[in-house]
Amino acid sequence: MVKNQPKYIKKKKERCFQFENYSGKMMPRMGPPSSSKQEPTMFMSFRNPQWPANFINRDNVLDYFCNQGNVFYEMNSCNQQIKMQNITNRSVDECLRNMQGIQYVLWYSQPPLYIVCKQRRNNATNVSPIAYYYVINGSVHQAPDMHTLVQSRLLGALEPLRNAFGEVTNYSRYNTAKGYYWEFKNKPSMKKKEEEKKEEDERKLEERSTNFQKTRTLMLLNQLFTEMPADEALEKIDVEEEEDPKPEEAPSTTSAGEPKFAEPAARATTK
Amino acid sequence: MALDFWKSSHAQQWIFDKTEIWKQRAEDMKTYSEEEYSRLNIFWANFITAVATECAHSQANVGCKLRQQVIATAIVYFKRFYLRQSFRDMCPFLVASTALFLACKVEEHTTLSVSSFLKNTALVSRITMPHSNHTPDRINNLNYIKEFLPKRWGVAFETNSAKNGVLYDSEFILVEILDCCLVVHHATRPMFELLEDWKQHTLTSTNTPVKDFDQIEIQCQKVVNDTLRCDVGLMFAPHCIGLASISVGMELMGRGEELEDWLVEVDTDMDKLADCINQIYTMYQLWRSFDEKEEVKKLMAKLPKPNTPIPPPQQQQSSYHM
Amino acid sequence: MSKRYETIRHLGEGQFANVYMAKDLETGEVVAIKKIKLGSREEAKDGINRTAIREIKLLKEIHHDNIITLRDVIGHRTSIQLVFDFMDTDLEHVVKDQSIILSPSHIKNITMQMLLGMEFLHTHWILHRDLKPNNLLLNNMGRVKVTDFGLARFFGSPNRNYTHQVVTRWYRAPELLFGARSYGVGIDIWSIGCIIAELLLRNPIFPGDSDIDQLVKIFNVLGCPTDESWPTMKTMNSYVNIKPQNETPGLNFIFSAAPQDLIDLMTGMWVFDPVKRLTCTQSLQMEYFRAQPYCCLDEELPLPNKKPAKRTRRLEEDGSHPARRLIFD
Repeated sequence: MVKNQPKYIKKKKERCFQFENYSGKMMPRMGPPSSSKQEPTMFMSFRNPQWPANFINRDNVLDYFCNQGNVFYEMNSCNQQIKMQNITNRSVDECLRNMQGIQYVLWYSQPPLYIVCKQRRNNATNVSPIAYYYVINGSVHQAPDMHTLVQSRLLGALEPLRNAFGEVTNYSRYNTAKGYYWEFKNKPSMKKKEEEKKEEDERKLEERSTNFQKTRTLMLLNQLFTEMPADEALEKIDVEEEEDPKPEEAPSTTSAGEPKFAEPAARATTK
Repeated sequence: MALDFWKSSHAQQWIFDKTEIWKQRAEDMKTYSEEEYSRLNIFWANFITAVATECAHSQANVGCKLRQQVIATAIVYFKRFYLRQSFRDMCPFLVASTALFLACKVEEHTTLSVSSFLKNTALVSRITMPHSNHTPDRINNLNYIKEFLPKRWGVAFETNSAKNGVLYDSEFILVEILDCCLVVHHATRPMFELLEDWKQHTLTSTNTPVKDFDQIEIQCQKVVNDTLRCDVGLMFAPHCIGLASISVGMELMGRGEELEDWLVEVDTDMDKLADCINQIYTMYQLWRSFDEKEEVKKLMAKLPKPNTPIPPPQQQQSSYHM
Repeated sequence: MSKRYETIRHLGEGQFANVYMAKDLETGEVVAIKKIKLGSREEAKDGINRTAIREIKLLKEIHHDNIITLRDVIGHRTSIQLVFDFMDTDLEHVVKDQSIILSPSHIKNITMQMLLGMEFLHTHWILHRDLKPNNLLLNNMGRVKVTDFGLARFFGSPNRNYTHQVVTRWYRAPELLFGARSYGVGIDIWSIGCIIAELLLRNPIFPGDSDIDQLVKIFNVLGCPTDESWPTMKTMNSYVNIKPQNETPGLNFIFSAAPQDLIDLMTGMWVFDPVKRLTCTQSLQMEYFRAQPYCCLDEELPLPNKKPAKRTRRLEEDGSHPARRLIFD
C-alpha cells in the first residue's frame, strides 16, 4: 500500500500531462470541450480502402482500427506495443488487461456498427474511458461527447426560436395611448437581410456535425442511456470535474453559441 | 593495468610491510638467511626471465619472445606464492614455469605462435615430471634445458622434486594460493607517465627540453625491470616504485640533480619513496657481489626437498573464500 | 563438487561450461556453479581454460550491482568451477516468453541497468565482447547483471591487435564484420542497441546466417554507410561492397510503438562509424531516460512463469463482458 502512494501521484501527473497535450483528441466524456481544438477530430474520418467494409467483423474490427494511418490511433498505445512485440499466442484482450496506459477495446458491436473505446487503464480492474469511435461500413468517426451533442441540440432548438423572436420584434409597436400592438407591413429589405442571415446560420449548423451524426446519434444516445443508468454516470461526472480546469466558463465561450447572441460587431470577429 | 589500483585486490590484499613479509617466509628462514633469500630472489627472477626469453629460441619457437609484462607478472606470482607457501611445499622450478605459463594467459599474450609457446612453457615444467611422454619435440626441449641451465648456473633440475605434480595441478594450486588475484599492477606504466610529466615540467620551467630523453626512458625501464628482483613489488604501490625507479635510473646516469625541482612538487609519501629507493640500491649491491655460478649451486643444495609435493586441493578449498 | 556446495540441479549448458544450481551449505544460500568444460585434448594442454582465467581475473577485481559477483573458485585436478550468485533467469528467456509483455517502463529499466553495468566496465577499460540477451541475467529482485566474461579483456593499449572473431554474430558490430583489429567500446554499444531492439520486437533484429548476410541485414534496416558517415570503412581488412535494398523502412516503422527518444537512442548506438557512436555515459544522458514514462521499480520487472494477478480471473467468471464492466469499477 505504501508503495502504491507514489505510483498514484505519478499517474495523476501523467494524466494532467496527457490532458494538456492531447485535449484535441481526447475529451472527458462529460466535460466541456475546448471546442476550437476539438472540432477537427470530430470532422475527421478514417477509411482503409484495402479492406472491404463487409469483411469487417467482431473479431477483426480492432485490427482494422489499429492502423498506422488512422488519425484516432495512438502509436504508443498498448495495442501497438503488443503488435510490435509480436505477441501472437494470446488474445489482445487478455494482454491489455495486464498492461497500463492507452488502450483500444471493442466496446459494442452490432454489425455493421462497431464502437471502439479508447481508454486509459490504471490497473487490472480500473480504466477511465477517454473517447469512443464508431466504425460503420469501414469508416471510422469519433463519437461526439455528450457536451457537444447537447449543445448542438440546444442550439438547434434555440436558433429558430431566436429568429422568430427577432422577426416578431420588428412588428411590435408601442404607443402610450394604445400600449403594445402589432403592425404588419411589408418590409422587403429587412426580410431579405434576415433570410441571408438564416442561410448563413444554417450552413454553420450543417458543419457542426456530419449528416450521420445528426441522423443517427439519437439511436446511440438512447443506447447509452440504457447502458448507463443515471446514478453511475453521475459518479463519473465527479471524477471528470476534478480533472477539468474550468468547467463553468467553457459553455459561454464556445464559438458555436456566440454569434447567435452577440452584437453584430462580435459576430464579425467569429467569422 | 587499467583498473583503479586502490580498489584492486593488489592494493587490498598484496601490499605488506617488511616485517610481515619476513614473518610469512618464516618457514624458509629456517634454511636461509635473509641475505641468502634476497640472493635467491635475484636468482628466481633471472631464471624466469631466462626461461621466457631464451627458451623461446629453442627449435619449436623460433622468434617468439615473451613481452616484459608477462615476465613481470610471472615473477610477481612467484613471489606471492612463496609468501604463502614455503619451498618445502612445492618445487620452485615448477612454480616458476607455471607462473610464467599462467601469466601468459592472464596477460592475453596472443600472437600467432602463442599456442606453440604455451606448449613449450608447459614442457619446461614437464621436464620435472618423469612420467611425461617423450615425443621428439619434448626431447628437444628437455635437452635444451639440460644444456642451458648448467651452462649458466651450474645446477640441474631435481626431477624427482615434483613426482606427483602435473602442470594442471600446479596451475590450480597457484591460482588458489594467489587467491584468484591475477591482475597485477606493474610500475612500468606509471613510470612512463611520471617521466612524461617530468619532461613537460622541465620544458615549461626551464624552457629547455630534456637531453637524451630516449636514453633516460631506456635506463628507467631497465631499473623498473630490475626492481622485480627485490621485494618492493610486495611493499609499495606501482607509482611509488615508478618514481623510485626514475630517481635511481637518473642517479645511475649521473643526472640525479635534474630531478630535484620536480620531485619537490610531486605529492607523495617521501619516507616510502626513500625506503623504496634504498631497497633498490641494496638489491643492486647484492646483485653485483652475486656470483651466480658459484653461489646458486650452494643455495640449491640447501633447497629443502618437498615433503608434501602437492597440497591436496580439498584442503586448499576450505582455506580461502572470497 | 566440493563439500561446501550441494548440487540441486543442472541449469544449462553453454559453449564452454555447464551450469548447476547448488546450495551453499555454509550460508544456506542458493548459488550457481559454472563448471568449465575440459574441451578437446589439444585445449586441455593449455591447462586452465582461458575463458575461466579471464572470468576469474576480471571478476575478482570488479564489483558492481549490475555485474555478476564471483563468490568462490573451486579447483580440481582437471576442472575448475566458478561459484556465482544465483540468478533466476536471463533476458533471452524473458524475450522468448510470450506470456510477458514488456511495457515501455520495463524496457527503460532493463536498458538502464544494462548501460550502468557496461558503463562501469568501460570506465575500467574492460570490453565485454560477448553481449547478448543470454548473457544478461535477471534475478527475482529485478536486478539485471552482466555475466560471462569469457571473452572480456582490457583495452586501450595502443599497438595491440585483437581478434575480430568476437561477439555472437547477430550482435556483432559492422567494424568487426569488416575485420577490424583495433576496436573499442563501440562494439559493446552496438550489441546493446541490438538487445534493446530485441526487447522491443521480441525477435532478433539482425539475424544473419553468415557474416555477409549479417551486413546485408544491417544495411537493410539502417541503410548503407557512405564515405561521409564512415570515412575509414574502405580501409578495413575485409571490406566488401554490399549493395543494399533501395528503400529502408526506417526505425520508426520497425519500432512502431517506440517513443521517438528511444529511437534516437538506438540510432545513436547504431552509428556506423565506431568513433561517432554513443558511449554508455552519453547514452545514459539521453533524453530517453529523462522523459516519461520513467523506469519501473526493479521488482516490477516480469519474470517468465510468473503467474498473472488473480483478480483478473474473477472478472471473467461472472459472465459480463470484462472490459465493459471494468469501466465503472
